[in-house]
Amino acid sequence: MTCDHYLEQAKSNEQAARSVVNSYPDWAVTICFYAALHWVEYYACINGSDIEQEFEGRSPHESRRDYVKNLSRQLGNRNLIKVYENLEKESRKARYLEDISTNAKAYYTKNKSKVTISLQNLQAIKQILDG
Amino acid sequence: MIVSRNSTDKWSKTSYRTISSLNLIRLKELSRTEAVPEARELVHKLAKVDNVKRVRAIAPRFPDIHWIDFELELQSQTELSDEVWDNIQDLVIDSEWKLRDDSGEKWYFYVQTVARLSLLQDKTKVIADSSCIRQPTEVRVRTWSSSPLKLVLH
Repeated sequence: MTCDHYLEQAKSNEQAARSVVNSYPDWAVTICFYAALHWVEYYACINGSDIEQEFEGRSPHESRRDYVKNLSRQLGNRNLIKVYENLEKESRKARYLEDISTNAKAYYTKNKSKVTISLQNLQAIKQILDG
Repeated sequence: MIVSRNSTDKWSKTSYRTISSLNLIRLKELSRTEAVPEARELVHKLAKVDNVKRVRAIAPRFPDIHWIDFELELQSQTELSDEVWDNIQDLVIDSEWKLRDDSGEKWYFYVQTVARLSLLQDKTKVIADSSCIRQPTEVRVRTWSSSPLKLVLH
């Protein structure tokens, strides 16, 4: 098995996120996180890491976050963990309405800058992990 | 002494839930490590951020304290700006990386804002709570003579 399927999924997710920025900005935010997640899986795969085997978390998301934390320290790049956590945080907000009092679509339609920031954070993840 | 993953295996979760006196003993032992003072200092710093009402540090895998969640309860009807959140992330990363460098072990600090602090059945998991922390005298005096910390992005 190669690692390419993670990369293909990451790219497909980014494309999907961009396609719904105006129609479903809440889902654009969520899909950005899932694109970033597959970039992380791709990076781990090509570097011979099996995240779920190596990081015993309460969930696959937690295991992956622990991996990104270690990687961030290893690379000496704090921006990696910051943008990854921000993408995850924003996707939780969009999916579970954490800390917002309207529906997610209305919230992100009103706060378009947050959608833009999620797309920028995804670019940052790509640049760090594809470098 | 720092409790590791192996220690978690040795001391099953069930044992720790049922033998509270052992929890207290273990917590006292943990207090001697670098991690607990570092977590308490971070709680203290985070509690000074504008619009933060209370901060609590929880070790979800207690007695293994390598994972610490920092819950930030905000004042009602407030939210943190992106700049302040960025500074909070920096404080947490600084603290975690310092502990990694000092101890040679891996630590995982997570911070999140919450509308309400989570309900905990096992209170021994609480490593620090800003509503309970007594500051050292010299720090307390200094705090009284200065205004609350305001994080500003330069």
